[in-house]
Amino acid sequence: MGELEDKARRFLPLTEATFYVLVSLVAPRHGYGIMQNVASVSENRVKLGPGTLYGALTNLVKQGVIERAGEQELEGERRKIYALTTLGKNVVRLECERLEILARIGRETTSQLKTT
Amino acid sequence: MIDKTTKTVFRIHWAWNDDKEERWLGRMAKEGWHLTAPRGFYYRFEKGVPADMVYRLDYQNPGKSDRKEYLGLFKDAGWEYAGQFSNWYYFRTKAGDGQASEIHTDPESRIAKYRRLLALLVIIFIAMWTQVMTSIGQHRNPHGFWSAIRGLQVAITILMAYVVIRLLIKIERIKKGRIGRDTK
Repeated sequence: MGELEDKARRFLPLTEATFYVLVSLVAPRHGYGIMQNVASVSENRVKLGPGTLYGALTNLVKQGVIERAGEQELEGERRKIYALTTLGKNVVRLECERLEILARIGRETTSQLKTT
Repeated sequence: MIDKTTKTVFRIHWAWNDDKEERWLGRMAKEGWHLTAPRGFYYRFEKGVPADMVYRLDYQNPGKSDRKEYLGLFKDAGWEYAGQFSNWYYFRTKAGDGQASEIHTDPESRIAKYRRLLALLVIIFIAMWTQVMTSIGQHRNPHGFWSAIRGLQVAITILMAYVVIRLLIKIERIKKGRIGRDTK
């Protein structure tokens, strides 16, 4: 447990692109599914270009954060499915915990600013 | 008279200046010339309907096994594959149209693109440099042919060093965020 967490912690903080890719993979998806999910959860504020996405996916596979988990048909063509590994799940969990602390501090700060 | 439907244009573009190459390809498309084959120092075009296109270049090495997956991502995202030269991949999409006009959407991945190219060039540079240095160490060869070869080696080594420096400058400029993209 501890060792895996230490290993996962080394990936933090994530870049915005990596963060969006990893949270999209809470459910296994193909590349296009990731792009659509990122656009939808960010309410179209973040668009992930295919060049950026391909680079992120190959890096994350190499680092063992995600893995290829079979293929799926998309409009008659085969597309690879990506899924979080156990390491990847730990990375996402730790990053979300870290961000929650930041978000709490952020909320406290904005409310303090309002009262001054 | 036969209508000219294809043409070949000779043109050199520098690796650190692919933004300029992209814009040039866009201007060709506006005149109805659509890229069919980029070949490094020349380009083949096909005559078609003039169109407002955005061209983008990626430098990537997906390998044979991953090529379909790589091109598939671009296709799904609305980019048409227009050709390949070495590890340079050419993509295009209609301008405007509510489509995203970038294949790289953060500075990190733009930098990574130039770093991949840089890694290859540095290896070539070191190989050339080693060869030049060892040939200087050996006794002089007076024959004109060999000194010409040596001169050529030195010229290529200097050129490699120059390209490496220009790429490093480009990466620094992206890091500092002074350019999302070169406009010159």
